[in-house]
Amino acid sequence: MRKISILLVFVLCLLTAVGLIGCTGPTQVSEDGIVVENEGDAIYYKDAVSPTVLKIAFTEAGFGREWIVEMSKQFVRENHDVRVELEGDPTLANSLFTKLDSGKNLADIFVPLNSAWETYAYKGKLEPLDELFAQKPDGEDGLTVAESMDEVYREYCSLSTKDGTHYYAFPWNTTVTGIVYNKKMFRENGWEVPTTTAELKTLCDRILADTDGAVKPFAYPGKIGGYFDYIGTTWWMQAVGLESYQSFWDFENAEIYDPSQAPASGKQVALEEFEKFFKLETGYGVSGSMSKDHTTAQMDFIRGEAAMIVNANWMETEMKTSTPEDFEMGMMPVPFLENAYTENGEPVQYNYTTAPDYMIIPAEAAQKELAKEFLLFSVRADMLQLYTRLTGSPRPFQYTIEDDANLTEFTKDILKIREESVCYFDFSRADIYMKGYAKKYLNGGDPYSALVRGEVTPSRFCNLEYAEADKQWTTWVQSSQ
Amino acid sequence: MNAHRESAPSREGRADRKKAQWKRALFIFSFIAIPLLHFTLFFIYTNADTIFLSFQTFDNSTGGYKWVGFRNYTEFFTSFVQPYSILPKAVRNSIYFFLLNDFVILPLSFFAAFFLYKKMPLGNVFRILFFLPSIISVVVLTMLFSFMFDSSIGVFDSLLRSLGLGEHIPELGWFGDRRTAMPLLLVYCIWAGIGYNVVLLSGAMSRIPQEIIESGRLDGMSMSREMWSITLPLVGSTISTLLMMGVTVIFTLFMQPMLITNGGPSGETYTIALYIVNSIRSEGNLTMGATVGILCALVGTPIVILVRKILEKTFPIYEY
Amino acid sequence: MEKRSFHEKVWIGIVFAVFVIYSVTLIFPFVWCFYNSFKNNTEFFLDVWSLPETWRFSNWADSFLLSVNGVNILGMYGNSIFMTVCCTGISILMSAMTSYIIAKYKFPGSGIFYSAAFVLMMIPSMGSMSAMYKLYNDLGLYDTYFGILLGSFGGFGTGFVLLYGFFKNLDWGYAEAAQIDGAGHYTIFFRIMFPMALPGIVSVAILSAIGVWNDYFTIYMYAPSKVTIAVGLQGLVDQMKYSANYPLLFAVMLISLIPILTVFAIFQKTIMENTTVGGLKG
Repeated sequence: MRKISILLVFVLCLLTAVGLIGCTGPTQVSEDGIVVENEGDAIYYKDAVSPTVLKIAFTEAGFGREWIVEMSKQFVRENHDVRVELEGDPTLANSLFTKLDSGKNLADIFVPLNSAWETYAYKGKLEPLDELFAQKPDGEDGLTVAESMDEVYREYCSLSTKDGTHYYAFPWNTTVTGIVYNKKMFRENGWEVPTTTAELKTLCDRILADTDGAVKPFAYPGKIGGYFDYIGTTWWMQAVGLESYQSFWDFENAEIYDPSQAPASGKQVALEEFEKFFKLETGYGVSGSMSKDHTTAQMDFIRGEAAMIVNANWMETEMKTSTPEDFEMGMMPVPFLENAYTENGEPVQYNYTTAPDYMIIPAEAAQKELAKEFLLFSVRADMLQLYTRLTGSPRPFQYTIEDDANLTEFTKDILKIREESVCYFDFSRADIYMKGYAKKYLNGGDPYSALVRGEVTPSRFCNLEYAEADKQWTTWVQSSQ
Repeated sequence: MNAHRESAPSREGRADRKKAQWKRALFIFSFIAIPLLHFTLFFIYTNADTIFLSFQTFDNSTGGYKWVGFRNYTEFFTSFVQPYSILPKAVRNSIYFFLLNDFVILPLSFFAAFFLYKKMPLGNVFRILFFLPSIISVVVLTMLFSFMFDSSIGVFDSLLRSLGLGEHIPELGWFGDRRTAMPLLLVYCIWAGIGYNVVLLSGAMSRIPQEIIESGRLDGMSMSREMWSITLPLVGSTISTLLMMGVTVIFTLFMQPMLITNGGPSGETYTIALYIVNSIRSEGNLTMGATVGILCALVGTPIVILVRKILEKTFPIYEY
Repeated sequence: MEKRSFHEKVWIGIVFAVFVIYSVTLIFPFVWCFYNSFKNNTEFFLDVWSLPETWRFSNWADSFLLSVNGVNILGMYGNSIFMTVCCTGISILMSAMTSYIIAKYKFPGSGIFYSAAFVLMMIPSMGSMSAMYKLYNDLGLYDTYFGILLGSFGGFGTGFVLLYGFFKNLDWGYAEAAQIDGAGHYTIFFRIMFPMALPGIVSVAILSAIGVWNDYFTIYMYAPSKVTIAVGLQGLVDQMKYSANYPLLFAVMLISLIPILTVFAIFQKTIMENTTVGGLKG
């Protein structure tokens, strides 16, 4: 017995050695001499002599790695003396901050999903990007990076630290949220995409009637309140208009929670609208949705148990391997409330974008200037095109997306919504918010689950919030010093 | 009872006894030195900050930490008594898990190990199977468990329906309904947790000398007598250890609620450790996490000492 | 041979039935994973309970081709086995040594170790991640096998706590007899006490090995190029949040499970059989 186990261990250690030595991935060389090792671990020009190394660590998630490999290849094509080394990590945000704190093994560019980078800017660990923002990626006739960027991103990326106010983050991508629907099912049943909430209600009743209750209007991941918040917040913006909504995020005083005036009045209206569709009694939701996460909810949708699902533009990419060939996915803009905010007599279409994914350059990185060059390069018109073509997702800059055979119908829906909407996401740099005292929803987080269960009414929830904020405001202000 | 008795006979000279003492000290030292060094470096050094952090807060304007005395602590206590605070629930749930571990799972494991030890038919097969959940990553296990109980694709609901008990399925889903979320989470812990204890208890039971059993049998001892009077006391030290480990669960269990219910519905399945993990993750709040951590240690230490004293009385050590 | 009374047979029968039901609930998810791993994802999403229409091997093939950071599945196995065997061996040895001392030898301060170990288990470590990361780098141990092995030299964790109980149970009489024969402390430990506690030590070793095998965080953080099965699997699970390819996940999971189950099956037969440890020698 002992002999066998020793032998076993020995053999397996041997295999380790073989495994490690013998197996690196494939190396490809293109006709113009660009070498790509192991799907992007290293990208360089074959005749380069001691090229400068640019290390990029990115989150390898829904979009995969094709976009950054192609971008890097093009960069190397134009800069033969550069060698790009990519590191893909599905949970980059987990290790990023540890690495920044320690200052060791830093990549030159980090591309994480949304996470709190501000603390690291305050600590002086991030490189200011002001010069980058002032440059013009498309030559003298074009816009500067800052001008081309969506305004809300510009505000987000800037921060006041002990070193002054600078830009510290760079936008990666932007999202479009809303209601995803089964185009084929709609077409087969003669259902039409609603533009107002009244039409949406009629549609829901019709869906139940036409299918005898076999198909429900909505699938949703009840475990994750965030998905509800997409339409909730869009309705909030529709109710009071963007400026008023933004005033909430200044966190000036407790009155922002008072439901008898804007902006909180909009919150109450939005929650009331939400209740109309998602309260359990309406029967509009797939049974048991409150205990589902996004995967099982998406499963319900794909299997045709629901006609619509609250989701965002990443849904198609996420479900790529599981969606049947003939499934037609579409996204509709969030329908207008009854008294939606108008400008020039027309209701303004808003879209709630999720908090941004971004790119940063560590202050202690080895190749800071080269990193900035790469970022500038990535927002050149042709590179933005490439990005959207490969990921089906937009970046928050001004560029025209040429109609491409590679763009799916779903992607086209998304791009259209983005073009026609005023896009906004939540953020605030007020101390009282950043320290976690004042929040978007007080008293235990968002009320969506409680509303679904009928455990609370919107007006009661908002009034309780106001009472709480009123009571605590001075304490919060003191505690956040 | 368990002390190592100095066995140098008194006839020996003083010098020899001193030499023996030196040898003994050297021996002790040699065995503990490396682990102690490791501990100092990897634990004390890397955690030195934690105590300080609990008295500090991060200052955005300077980009560093500043001292705020006991403010974090008072804040924690006031947030405890807030009307919508989930902390009381977190504490309640943490205690539930401890009670479950020590008074449900452990006894069940003991019985299971005992029957396996008594050469239950197919005993070896069972032992391997019971151990299965312990080998699998908890992430995968919880995913499987959630699938089983999902409303659309779960097998459990289909089973209930085919037995005609369909009305008992909660409309909100097993994990979305306040009344069923926590109980089901406890069921998961039992389902996945028995195997670990069974392995340890089996190891302990296999150490019991057969002569005692045989002589008992000759006296006509029944199986239940054997279990209560012989097996249980003789594996007492292992049981004590497992009981103690069950206590630590109060402050450390978070993966199961996080993965299965995400602390929901509305904080119903929160635990203390989950609170700490979330406060670090979502709010980047190292200082609050440190504060709660220190509080856990302060509360935990007397609990551990008390439990140990109780266990020493209940399960005296038998040497064999 | 023991004769069992009717009463006892009934009890055994009931317990047997319970065991069977429990076993079924345990096996079922794995059988489910198994046959689902032969579906492609679309088919899986359409009906998770049906048997596959066509049994595709593509997921299994892809799993063998899975490569993380340039390490393929064979390499991952090698790393996992190497880490598990070495780290478990070192940590069990250390834990045995420390728990033996604390259990059997009284000296000033020895009383607190046991309780302290439990308290330490409970303190969540906040600031330690970046400090630990920095420590590894400063000592030049980042991304090395040696660095990870060095991390296993701790002796005051779960292993210590569990083995303490086993050593406490050992009758010191054996040691006394040996001392009269002139054996020194080291001899007593390695020749007598350690072998006697073997069943306990093996149980703890198995549990510790499982922990090391499944631990992905340590490698992910401190030695990322030495990819183990756990790291590869976890990476896949994390990607799942974004691309939800369950059948592939099942295939990879089963591949990582089967060897460990086999090893456990082989070992448990040898060790868990009732071994009679006789009385005093001689």
